[in-house]
Amino acid sequence: MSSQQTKSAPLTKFQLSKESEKKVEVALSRFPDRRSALLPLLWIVQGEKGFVSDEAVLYVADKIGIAPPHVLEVLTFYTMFKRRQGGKFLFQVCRTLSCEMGGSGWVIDYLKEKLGIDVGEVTKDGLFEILPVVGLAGCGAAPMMQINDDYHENLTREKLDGFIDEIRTKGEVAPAPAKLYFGDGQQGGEKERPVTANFDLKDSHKIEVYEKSGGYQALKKALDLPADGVIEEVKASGLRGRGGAGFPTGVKWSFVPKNLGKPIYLCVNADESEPGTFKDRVLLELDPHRVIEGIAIASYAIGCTTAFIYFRGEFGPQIKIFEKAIEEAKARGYLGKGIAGSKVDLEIITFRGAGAYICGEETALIESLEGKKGFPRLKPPFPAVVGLYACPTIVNNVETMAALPFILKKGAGAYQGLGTEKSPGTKLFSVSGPVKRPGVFEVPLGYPLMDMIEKECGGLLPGSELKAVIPGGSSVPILTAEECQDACLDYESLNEKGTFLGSGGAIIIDQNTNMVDALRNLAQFYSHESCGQCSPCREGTGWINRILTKIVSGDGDQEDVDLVLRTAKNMRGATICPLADGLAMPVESYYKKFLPEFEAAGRNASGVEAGKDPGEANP
Amino acid sequence: MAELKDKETAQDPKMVTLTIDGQEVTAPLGMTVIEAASKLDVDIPHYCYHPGLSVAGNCRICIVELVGARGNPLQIACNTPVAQDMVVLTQSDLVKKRRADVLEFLLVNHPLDCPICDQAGECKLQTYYMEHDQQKSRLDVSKVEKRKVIPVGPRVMLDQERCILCTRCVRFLDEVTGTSELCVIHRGDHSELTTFPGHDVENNYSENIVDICPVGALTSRNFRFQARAWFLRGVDTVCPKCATGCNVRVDYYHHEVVNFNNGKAYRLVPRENHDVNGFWMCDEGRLAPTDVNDDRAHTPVIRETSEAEPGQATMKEALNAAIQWIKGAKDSGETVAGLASPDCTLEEMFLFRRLMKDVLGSDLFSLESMRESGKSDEFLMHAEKHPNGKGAALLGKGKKVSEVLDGCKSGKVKVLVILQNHLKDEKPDDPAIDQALQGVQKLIVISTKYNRTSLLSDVLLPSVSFIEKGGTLINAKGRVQRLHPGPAPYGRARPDLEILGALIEGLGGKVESTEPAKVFVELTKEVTALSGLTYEDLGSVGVMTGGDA
Repeated sequence: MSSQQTKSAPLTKFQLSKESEKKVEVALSRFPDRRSALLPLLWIVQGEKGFVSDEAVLYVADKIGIAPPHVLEVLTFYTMFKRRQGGKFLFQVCRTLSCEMGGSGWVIDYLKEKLGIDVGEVTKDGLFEILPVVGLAGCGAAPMMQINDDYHENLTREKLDGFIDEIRTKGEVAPAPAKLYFGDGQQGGEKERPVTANFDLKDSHKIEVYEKSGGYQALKKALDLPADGVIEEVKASGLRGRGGAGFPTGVKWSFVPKNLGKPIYLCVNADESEPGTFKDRVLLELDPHRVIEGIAIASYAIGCTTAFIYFRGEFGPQIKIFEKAIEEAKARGYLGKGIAGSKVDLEIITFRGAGAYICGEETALIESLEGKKGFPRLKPPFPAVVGLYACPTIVNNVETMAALPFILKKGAGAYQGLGTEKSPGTKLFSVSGPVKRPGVFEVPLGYPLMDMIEKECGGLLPGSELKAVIPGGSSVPILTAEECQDACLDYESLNEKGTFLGSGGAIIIDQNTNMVDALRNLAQFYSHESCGQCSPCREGTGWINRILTKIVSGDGDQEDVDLVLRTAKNMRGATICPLADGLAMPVESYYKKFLPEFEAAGRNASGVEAGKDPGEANP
Repeated sequence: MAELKDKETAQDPKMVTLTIDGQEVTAPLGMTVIEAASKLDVDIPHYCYHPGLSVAGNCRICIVELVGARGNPLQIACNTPVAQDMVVLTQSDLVKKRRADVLEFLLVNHPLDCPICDQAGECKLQTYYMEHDQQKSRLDVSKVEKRKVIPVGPRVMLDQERCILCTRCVRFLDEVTGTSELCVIHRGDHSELTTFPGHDVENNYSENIVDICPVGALTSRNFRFQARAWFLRGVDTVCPKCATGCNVRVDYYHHEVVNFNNGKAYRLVPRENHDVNGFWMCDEGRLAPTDVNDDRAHTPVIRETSEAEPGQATMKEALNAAIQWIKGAKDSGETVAGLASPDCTLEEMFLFRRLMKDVLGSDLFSLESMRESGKSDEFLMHAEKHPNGKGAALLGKGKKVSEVLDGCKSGKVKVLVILQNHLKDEKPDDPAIDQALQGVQKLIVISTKYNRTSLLSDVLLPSVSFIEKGGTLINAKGRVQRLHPGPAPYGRARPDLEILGALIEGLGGKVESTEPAKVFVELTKEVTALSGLTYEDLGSVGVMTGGDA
């Protein structure tokens, strides 16, 4: 039967510039599978036209050789792709929990008033558009936003006035990112810092600086070992995946079946999107070569000659820095044919996502790289056996890669000497919330949480009292102030306390935050980010969000409060990936640990205190 | 075009034994728990799983408990491979609780429009709700609103709110037809099933997505609002529209009391047969209800004189008239000719041939028709538009139609007997047909239809449609398959075999039985390719004929 659909209507209406056409051809030839060029092509189209029209969909479908619905479903899955012409300057105001605690609410209200537009509208001059978003990896600089690709952080009313004036008068605005790393000697005591050692150096992102500090020596050392030897060394170091799950890295590598006659792929996960987490962002900005060296070591170990690094779509500036670093490394022979004088080849391909938290899940990341919606895959099979393009694939976090040069250079023993027996090494923590110095810190695992707050972060802001800490990114159960007192930052200690080290995104919460509001913020995020594949998560996250919204706005009652908990429990463990659990765990732990606040919300909402007849509140 | 799947026969020599709800089952490695369970007739509730499509694992209702499993004991049966000594529970408390949970999630945003939904009565949401959930709604916030009544193609209507996003339809169009017209856009609870503007679902297999939609999201525009599922009865039969012989079920109206509409056919849906049509059928075939419903000949008619209006008669009177005319011709040594067609069953052709050859001693008859070949699509739609061309060839087609017509035209034929051959309708402007029909003195037509051909007859003997009778057909690949009688004969119509039997006996011939099963056994004695077969052997999926039919 002949395929009716791939024959699209004549593409008379749609044309790209010569320059964009060239980029399209490059993108199409860049990947082992043509469909992988789908997201890149949509970026190219949007870059030139400002949005992706139906004609553009037909154009892209035709270029890649897939049916238009396959383009449409991908296009609408990723929130950064636009279907209509928007404002020239898109103010994407972050609303994640850290930012909401830091005042993102006023930012949106102020911009609306100042620009005279509502969310989703464009100013008459076509210049401005406001879009509330969640989780831009700037939690330590709340409130913050991106204007198009650039970071503008620690926002104040004066700053916002300044940006708007600059755009109106000059037609552009300079980026204003915050400093999220403090290289003033207060980092994790006197211990060694395998990952952030160069952060204090001037121009730390340049190859000369990296080489001068001994960079790329570990790669040479690794290449002198047999590949299995590298795996053994990493196994011996006890390094665990730093993305959140904490699976032992060397063990994961050893799952890769060799001699299948298929290519083996490494996918580096730079889709840092977990609310409260911004460590990889800082690492990619300040020391991209350490990541590249780590990628080269890992690739050699598993037998990969084409590695991918998947950046979240919002990481425009970081991709530029990284691509520059790749060019530098190629020029010095650390990438390309015969890396570092060996017989081993390696190419690193950068890939830009387009706004989907779920793509941080390793199989969703693979799907996205293949030009599909970020739907987590069913397991089995696992990606180590059937991954990217159905080939054996290892997905590792950026920070995991950055730890490798130290391990290879100084030996597994040196790495093990840091941290605890079961959680060796160091970990990056990104701390946000009402502390004096929110930012990224590298400390040995097992470091006391309170020391992190008091020493690294300089303590809480004046007037703030510690109420709770979410230690490992928004998905993990919360710790009360009391539980924090003797909590240590390593996998085992936190597990004993019923929570997880996760991504190391620690969100500090003080008395000014109501836990029902905080939970509603998370529910909004998870329901927005649910990929929509599994019914419990698709329907459950949205339902919880709607009930919490009702409660927060004063219309709910105790039954609603209880329903949130029951619904969360019903989602747990019922889905392909852990996104639903990522909301269910906070619901259960907030409810359990801050019950009076939930009961009060139910009472308030029942209308008892507002003077209404409780019977009317919920007929 | 994807090959039809049959995991049962997948080559995997390694077998494992597991228990499902206490019953032991042996299954090949690589098989999933839901497939192994179906071998035991243990039905595990499911929405997204379909044996003819890839596994999506998204509905989450086929959850089972794996006793003693490491980690989460609740796993989806559609993606859990069988393993040696695995112990599976499909009815444990944990499982039942999880099923109820999943149903609640699926119903959160599902509209409560069952009273006006075509799927009502055969909706898996309703079925599983009654079996596994039955809790009161706890929803006290608004539902997500989506679009309704969207024509996504000439034959399919979409209701986005009813859709549970199981993606069976999307996978069917990706994997089976390769046309990919549908996709799910956006994400979370705002995910929507849709087409791309201007690219409708108009392929010839589009109505399969209506069949496999477990809820009322995709409905057939032909069937929409026509009948309630609980007023329909199904009869297992074979599609009459081409030589592929897709196994189908025809749903027809049946009500004990409100019976004016009884026997009206409403729809065809495919039956599973891996040797013929897999799980699918084409949209063209779904037009077969018109064969049953439209222009049905319900009363025998005798044209008394050349002047008079055709007069209604009893079947006995009409048969007598026919027999008298044929007898007259036979006794005066004149020729009786015959035209049947490959629309007939093997048994009908067999008795027709006996009538012509053995009883009347005429060899001027044909089992061919003038219907031309049509389109084929390399999948299920065959160019040969008769269901039993192979059967006609096996029995011997006799003369060509044109030879019979020439004989009639020449005036040497006195009586022409036509059985289910609608030649005047198929070639309304062919002068050869008019000349032939004018050349005979009496025209006897056995037909299901009032149509151009039958209205020219001197005697019309109304017969039953393909869903009112038994019999066998041989498809293009040589598979003998059975028809089954569903509704009672329409009006005063009788089965063709009965009519042929009455003619044969009235003309002095002999018929042991006009039961299809018995006629079949008789003909197997004469046709070597069928020898040894019984009617029962054919079962529900048919049998290949021996040798090259």
